[in-house]
Amino acid sequence: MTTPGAPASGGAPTVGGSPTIHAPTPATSRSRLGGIWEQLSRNPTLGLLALLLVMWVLAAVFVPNFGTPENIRNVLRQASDLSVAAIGILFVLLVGGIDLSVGAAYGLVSVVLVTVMIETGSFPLSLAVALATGVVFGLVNGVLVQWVRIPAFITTLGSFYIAYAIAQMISAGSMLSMPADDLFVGLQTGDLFGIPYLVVLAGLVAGLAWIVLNHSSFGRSVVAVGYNRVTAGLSGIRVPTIVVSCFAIGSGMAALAAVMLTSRVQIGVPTLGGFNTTFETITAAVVGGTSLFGGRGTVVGVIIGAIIIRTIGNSIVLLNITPLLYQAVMGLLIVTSLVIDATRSRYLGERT
Amino acid sequence: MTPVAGEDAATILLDAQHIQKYAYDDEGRPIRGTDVLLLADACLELRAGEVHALVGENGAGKTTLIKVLGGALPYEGGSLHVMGHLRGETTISRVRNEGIAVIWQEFSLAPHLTVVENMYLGRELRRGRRLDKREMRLQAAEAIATLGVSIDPDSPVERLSTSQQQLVEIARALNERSRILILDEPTASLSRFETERLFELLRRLRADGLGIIFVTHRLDEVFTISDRVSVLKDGRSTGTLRTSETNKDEIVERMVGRHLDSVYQRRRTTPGEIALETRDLLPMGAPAPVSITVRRGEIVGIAGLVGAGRTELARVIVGADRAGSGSVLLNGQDVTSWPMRRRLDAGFAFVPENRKDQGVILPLPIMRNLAITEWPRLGPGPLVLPQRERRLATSLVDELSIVARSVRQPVFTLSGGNQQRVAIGKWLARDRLVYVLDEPTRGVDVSARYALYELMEAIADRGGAVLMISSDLPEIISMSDRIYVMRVGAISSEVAREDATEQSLLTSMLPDRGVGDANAPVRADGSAGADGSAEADA
Repeated sequence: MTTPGAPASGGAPTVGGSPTIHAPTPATSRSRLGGIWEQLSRNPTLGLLALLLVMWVLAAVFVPNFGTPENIRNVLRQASDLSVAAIGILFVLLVGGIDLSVGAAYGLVSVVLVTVMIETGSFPLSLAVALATGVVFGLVNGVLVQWVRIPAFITTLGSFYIAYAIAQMISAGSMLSMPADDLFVGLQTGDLFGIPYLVVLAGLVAGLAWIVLNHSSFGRSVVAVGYNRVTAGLSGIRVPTIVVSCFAIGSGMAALAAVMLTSRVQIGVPTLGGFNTTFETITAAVVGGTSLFGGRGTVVGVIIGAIIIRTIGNSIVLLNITPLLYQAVMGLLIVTSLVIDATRSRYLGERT
Repeated sequence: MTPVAGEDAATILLDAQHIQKYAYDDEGRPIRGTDVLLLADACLELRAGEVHALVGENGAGKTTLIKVLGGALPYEGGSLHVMGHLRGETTISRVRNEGIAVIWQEFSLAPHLTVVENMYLGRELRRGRRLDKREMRLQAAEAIATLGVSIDPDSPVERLSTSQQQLVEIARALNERSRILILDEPTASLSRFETERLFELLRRLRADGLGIIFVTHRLDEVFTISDRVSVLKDGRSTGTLRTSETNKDEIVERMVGRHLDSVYQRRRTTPGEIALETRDLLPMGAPAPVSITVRRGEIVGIAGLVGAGRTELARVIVGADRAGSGSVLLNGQDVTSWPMRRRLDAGFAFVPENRKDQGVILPLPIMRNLAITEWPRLGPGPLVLPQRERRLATSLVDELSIVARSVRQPVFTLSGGNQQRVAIGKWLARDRLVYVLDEPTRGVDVSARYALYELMEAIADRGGAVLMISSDLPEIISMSDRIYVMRVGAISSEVAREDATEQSLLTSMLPDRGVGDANAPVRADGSAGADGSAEADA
């Protein structure tokens, strides 16, 4: 594949090539009114990155054992599957949709993965079937939303329960143990120069998503449809295809994330994800600066959002505080992000 | 510049001298040291007891100037004295204290709150710790009464008409003891009667010693209401004239900087073979089938009233809607069953009437908007090479003379005329066979109109077939080689250019009396002129 102009995306998903949307502008001087605030509202990814760094410094100082290399690796490993799922939902949000079924897709895919593995013993085959399950699931969501014109919110709420029920039926309500497999175990334990495979995989996925969104006809179309599907359609973009593809990508990525998570826990169970996962995934995207109204959002932002969430979760565990606090913090985080998003839209004059 | 000493310094309410305002780059920083300025040298002096009209084409900087005067934007050069005091950078709330009230085209009222609540929003009267509702209501009613109108102070604002809402804004301004009233195209959405009433009110406020700045597109209003008129062109003041000592021609000349013929004259051409043909084409739900032809190199106009079915016809031709029956032929080939995407690829171009919602994608850069039709062809495989996209956009921006600092600028930062050029420009990357343009000059100012006319001619000269829907009769007569007139969904006549007069077109546009046409709209909107009118051709 020729990818001219695309920066090599590094291993760790933290900064992965750090793509700035704006090219350097020629000789401009600083505005008199609030330079920093303006910078941040134009390029919120910088602010997010700063926030993450501040959190890490604070956590390293105040949270026992947070700063150890092993714990950092752990945080990143935990962030890897969340990042992948959140990049998936980024596509759905960019095109102006929403997908609540992510968490149930996790459970379904993990059960399918382990079941096929038990039956055939072939990891590549199980992987293919698991990913295909996710993509087909997303296609169904997309078709219902686009052609049957059921609002995405309702469609995916319904498909959440359907996926959950199917997973229950396949697993007959019990936990399925993953048969030992070198490849699969390797995915969770192995590393490349100290970077866990899972993190490397998330980085590769992020790089690919970044190229697609920023340097492909499809990615541009996604953003165009998200901002204004009427104009996009009248300009010759196949709006239905784009919308359905985004739902398929969203669930496909959720499936990959589910495989990554399954490799960490080594079991297949319908409750692998659940509403918590749906919520975390959307939160990661929104904290990362993705608009819920379509059109705006970046891969890098979403990844930083995922790492922020995992940092908070990890710190709460290490501090031995009640896990209930985690939920509250998540809630606070998503509300704050939405307020910032709304303020920013106004500030940028994007309303009209 | 210091304010003029001596002569009536006290009565000068506002004195803006050589105001400069920079354009902003994509990251919101002012761009200094270039020649792209929103305001390059704008001057305006407002005295107590005058109505001062501010005119200029779209994009001349009128709105920017009143935003600066009203304190919504800082300025970067020149000086601004308010009541003799120099004002630097400022904010809206401080401007309220300065006694300036700006009444924007889009009102700043909270729709669910009542008239009283709106008038005291943010500066509620209190008695002790509680709101003094009675006193507020009393004062509000009084302020409304002084306007000589009857508006229920307890009515939620959303129940009021546009004109009434405007009056509430004015009442609020008076109630705040504003001495300077700035009105941004206040008559754009008013009926004739309401306009008269507004003018009556402005005359009274003038007599009370207020200074009023009145932004308008309509020159006849300048002569009706104003004492002086200031003209802006490309961000520069081109003069302040006493209204009683000037005339329309002089103002127009200062607005456009050259003398424009009142009507554009299209060159004679010889049309080629038939590019577009419809045979008994029936849009869904339309009352009658339509058969028309457009040849290469030809500009064909479609005239008609709002609701005559012109937009519906255009949409069916390009495939945006399905046809009920009949067929569409492109270059002799039946494309009726083709989806829109395929028709566009085959050589159709469509510029819809509602520019902001359908023609452009406002938050996206000019570059993306122009290249949107070409993305699949801008790189190896599915990729889009940014430099090819930028090169394409840059050459189109040059070709269309779009006024912008950078192709990365979002389209919402452009003036209406420039936005329209973007909406058309995306179809110029490759030559198309048939251009369907729905109200291409609506809401576009005089000189941008001329540029669009030239563009249409250029398209026709290159062998394109242009089908142009327009409600502007002089325009359709001067631009079209042939004109179809639509009435209640059907073609009521076909007129050659030589035979077209406004009279003859209007006659075939208006529905026959009687014959069950009671519901057909009888409103000619040939007078459109005012920009951004939201009414759909539905």
